Amino acid sequence: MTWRYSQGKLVPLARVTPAFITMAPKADESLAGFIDRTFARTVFANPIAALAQAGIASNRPEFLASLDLTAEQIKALAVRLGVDVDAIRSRLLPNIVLPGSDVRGLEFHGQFLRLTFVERERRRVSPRALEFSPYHRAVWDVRPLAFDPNTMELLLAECPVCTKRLGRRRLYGPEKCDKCIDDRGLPSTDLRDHPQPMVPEEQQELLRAVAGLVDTDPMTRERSCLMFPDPWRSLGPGEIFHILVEMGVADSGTTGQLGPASRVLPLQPSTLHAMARVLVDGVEAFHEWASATLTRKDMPHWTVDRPMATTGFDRLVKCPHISRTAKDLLQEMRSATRTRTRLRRTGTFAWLNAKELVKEFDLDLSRAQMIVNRLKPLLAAGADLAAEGLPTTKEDFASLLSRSGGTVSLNNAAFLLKAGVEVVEGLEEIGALIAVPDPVSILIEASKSFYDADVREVRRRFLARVVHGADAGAFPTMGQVLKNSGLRPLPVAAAWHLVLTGSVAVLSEKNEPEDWLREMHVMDEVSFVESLRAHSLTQKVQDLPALVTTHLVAQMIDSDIVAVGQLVRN
Amino acid sequence: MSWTPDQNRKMDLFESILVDHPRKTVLHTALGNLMHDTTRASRRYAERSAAAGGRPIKPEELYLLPVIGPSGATKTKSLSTYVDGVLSDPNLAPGEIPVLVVTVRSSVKSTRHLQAAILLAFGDLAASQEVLCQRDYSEARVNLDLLEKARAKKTRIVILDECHSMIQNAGPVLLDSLATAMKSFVNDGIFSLVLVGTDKVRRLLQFNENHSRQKRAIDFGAARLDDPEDVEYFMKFVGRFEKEMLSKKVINKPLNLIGDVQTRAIAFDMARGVVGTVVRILHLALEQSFDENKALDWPQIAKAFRAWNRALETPGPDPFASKNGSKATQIKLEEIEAKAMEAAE
Repeated sequence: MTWRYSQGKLVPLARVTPAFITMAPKADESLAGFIDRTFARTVFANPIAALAQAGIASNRPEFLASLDLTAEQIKALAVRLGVDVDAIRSRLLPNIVLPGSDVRGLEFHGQFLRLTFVERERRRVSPRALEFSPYHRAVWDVRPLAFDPNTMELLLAECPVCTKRLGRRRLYGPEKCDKCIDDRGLPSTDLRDHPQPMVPEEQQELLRAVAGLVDTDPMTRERSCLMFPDPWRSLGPGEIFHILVEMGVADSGTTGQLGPASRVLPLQPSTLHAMARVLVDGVEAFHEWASATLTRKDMPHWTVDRPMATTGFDRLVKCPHISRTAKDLLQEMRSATRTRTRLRRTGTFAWLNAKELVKEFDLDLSRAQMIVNRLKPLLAAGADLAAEGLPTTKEDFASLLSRSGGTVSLNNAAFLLKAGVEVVEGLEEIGALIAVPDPVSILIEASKSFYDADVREVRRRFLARVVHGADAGAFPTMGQVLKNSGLRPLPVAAAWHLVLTGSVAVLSEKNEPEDWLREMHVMDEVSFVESLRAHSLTQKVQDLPALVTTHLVAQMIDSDIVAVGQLVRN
Repeated sequence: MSWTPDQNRKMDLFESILVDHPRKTVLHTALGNLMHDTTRASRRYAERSAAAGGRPIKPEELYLLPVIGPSGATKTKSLSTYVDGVLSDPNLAPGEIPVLVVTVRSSVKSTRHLQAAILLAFGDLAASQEVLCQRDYSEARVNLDLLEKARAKKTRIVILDECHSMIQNAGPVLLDSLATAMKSFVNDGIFSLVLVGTDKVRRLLQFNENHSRQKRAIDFGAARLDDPEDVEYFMKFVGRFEKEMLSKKVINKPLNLIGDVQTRAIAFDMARGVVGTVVRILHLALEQSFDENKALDWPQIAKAFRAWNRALETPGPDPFASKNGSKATQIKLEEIEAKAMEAAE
């Protein structure tokens, strides 16, 4: 495209004169903003005309900072604006390539920044910051940031009055909308009159550090870098920023490359904050994020120069704007965790494989998988395996497995004893019945189990205490005695234990009573109740937990569970 | 034929003669007042602006001071002594221009041209050219620029010299637009204007817009015979000028320009009451005397007058034509002098 502005206006470089009124640039002011501020109240409303006076011919004055200006042009611009050459040079954003590759980007105040990350044609401002001092901060042009790092106000990108995007085609000053003009041709909307929402208080500190990574001041960048733990810190501020933004993009479910019109940028402050939190929390948090984040696969996407990413980690590794050094670090971190897993699989615990266990020990597949799932975290935790009796070899496992035969679960044990679960639990508590010990119990599906033989032995001993007598019906049954004892909840376990130990004489009409509460009769009711009261298994009402079962409630009110159910419903 | 060194010296001495215009003090007082008024208004504006937090506010209206007189009435000379006095003030900050003189050319045909001329006078060539050729010209925007420049240079008064030349042949439309332009300078609180020019400047001031902020016009016009004060200042000026010529040895014996009523009447008629014209005719007469190689005297003055009169667009009557050439003037002067004598007694 040829330069369409009248040739007559272009001033030769040697004849550029300082503007009538010049001002000093602020430390963190951008070049375009500085030109805007300098000429805002002069006849030069057109940036092209203003630049022609500095000997620079351009149809795209917004791209001035990235034009390949010659040394003479920079000098002429400095003369026109009345500042040092260095003040101009430090504000330029020259095109550079990412070190060690041919990926294009630009140098933003001394560090690499992706091309898409810089606003040129559009302008975003913080009204509160403008109220403080009306000049355009360079960091507002960093597109991923949606806020001003000083005021923590969300940036305003569209004029609240005319709803058009703020641009740079007219020089009306950083605090004015460049589209709203009154009938005299002067800007009519002052953006300072339209303050924006703020970033939530709790996110501010971390987000300030994130924005500090791309600050114009190298000291601030270094300071912000220290917020991030070590593997990240060593990469430098620019790399951390690129990784954070790419993580944010992956987190928002975007596929393909970011274009200048991408709606993902600027990132939501909350997204950026969440990603920064992942990095701050260390490598483990990062791995958790990297494996958990999936980008959408069902979207049509751009795969010509970048293969489709599948996880957040893949997106980072495949992003062309993250340097080789950073990618090497990422790969190294991932391969380190993979090595740990592989060691676990191929080394000492290679035998711990469900399918092989099924073949070897003739186990049920579901049970084998259950065993592997239970053992794996215990083994990975790396505690003292031998002391806990955990199997570290196939032989250990075989011996452990043999000990897990012939067991019954808690419920089955109750069935065998022909008593309630509370009786079994009571017996275990008092030591009359011993549950399967710990390493063996891991191999058994039930949460608590007992050896079958032990349970049958206890049942046999219990029956041996029962005296057969035809006149047993003259005495009250066990159930009646317990109800009349006044003890609530009914001390069933204690009664069963007393019978087992022979502390009470019981009669029965049958040789092997099925229902011990109804078919067994107590001879000496008074002394039985006294020994019940003294028994350690007898619970008091105060000992009960806050929430009790329907059965217990029924016992407490001398009723049955149907009545309790009715009461609850009513 | 060139002059002798003696003649050269005499001409130099003649040209170095400085006799203040009788209206000069009036002009200087008016300019001083205007400066004070404008300074106070700007200070008030600055205070209001600071209170508004830098947001644009409606500025206070400033003033228009017309200085009107025919060409040769030493308007420019009297103004420049004031401007020189202000600009050579040792208390002035470097770069400060409290009074800016803009000489208006006849090429000024619109508001845009006028603004460009003022920008040029400030020394901003680039902006002046930009205003003339920009497509998105906005009068208010250029006024904003002028306001900034005036503020930076602390300019309170802009003197538009030769103001009549921009409305020399102006029709009603152009007159209207230029009058509005002036009004907008004053309204926008940019600076106070001093309009210097001939009678034609009055056409600009007839517009209602410019009437409200107008200060009393300073008249550098011809002395009128019906005003005794006018006649007195004219005669005093001529007498003082002749005295200077004598003391500087340009002439060796007095011409008696105001010696008696007859010569006074001739001098008044010759210059048609304009003091600058007397000096110009005497200048021509001195050249004539050099050419004839004679001492300066009445015959040379008569010749010089005729040459001068002939070159005018509308030649006036010749007081040297007959003895009674300026009889009417003489009678009026006698009346005035008689009244003055009575009043003195």
